[in-house]
Amino acid sequence: MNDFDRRLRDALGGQPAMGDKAEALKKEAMRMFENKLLVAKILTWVSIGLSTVGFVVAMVGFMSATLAREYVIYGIIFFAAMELQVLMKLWFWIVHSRITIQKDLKEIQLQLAEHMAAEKKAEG
Amino acid sequence: MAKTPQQIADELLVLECQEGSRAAFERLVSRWQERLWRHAYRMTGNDAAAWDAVQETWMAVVRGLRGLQDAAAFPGWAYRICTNRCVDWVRREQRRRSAAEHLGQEARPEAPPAGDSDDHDAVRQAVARLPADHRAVVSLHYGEGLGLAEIAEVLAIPEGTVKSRLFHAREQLRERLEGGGHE
Repeated sequence: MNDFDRRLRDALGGQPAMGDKAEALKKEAMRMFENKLLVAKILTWVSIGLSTVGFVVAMVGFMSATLAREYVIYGIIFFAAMELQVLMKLWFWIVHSRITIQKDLKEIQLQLAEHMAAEKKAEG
Repeated sequence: MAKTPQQIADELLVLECQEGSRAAFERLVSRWQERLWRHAYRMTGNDAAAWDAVQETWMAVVRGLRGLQDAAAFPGWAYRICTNRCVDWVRREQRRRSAAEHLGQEARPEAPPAGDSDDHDAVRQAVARLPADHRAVVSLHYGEGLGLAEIAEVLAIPEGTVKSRLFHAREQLRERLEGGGHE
């Protein structure tokens, strides 16, 4: 790095801080995150509700059906509702497992990095 | 290159956010918004535009965080979103100014970032006159301390292009600051 590079780095690295704007922007970001969580929660409960209603309707309809066509229709609704629940649970399980494994790995990495940093400090 | 504990801690926070932890997101915002804001401010030289860029960045982060497969990609991803928002703003502003000049109106000069010394002000004013693409490279390299490979990842361009943009930006800055004299 030459003097000119150092001059640029000094000038651009020392930009003014956000100051009092930081808190307002943080609040805004938190509000967006909470809204997103709320939407995800609503969607989850709507899906669970729909599949449960589908189950009940299909069961009742299947039991009271008299024609072959009705048996087929209620059977399809039953399987669709079941598939929806199974796929949802599978998806949640996959995502949760991925994140848990990655978190465990990151925690090990963090411990190693901290250990290495402490060792380097002790050596230096 | 080995990751620093801070980088790994950021990755952990991203993973916790993906699980829906409010506390983790709050910490992630605290750790990142200053960096993003400084970058946006360097790019735009405008307080309100930097604010909008960072706000839009967080909006995009919230929308896409769950879909982020690799937590280590978060810094590059966040810088990319912020840079793209700023580049859009700079180009809009340049179009607006050239239209104003074309119509014979007096174009409002881009406000240079407030500085702490004359030399720093001069550098920032010279950077503010660079084209948006070059400004992004200069801001990420000199302001954020990113390497060529990291900038290439952020801007989704080849490393050679980063090198050439940095070279041309440096030459333009040198010309403006030192009157074309080379060391």
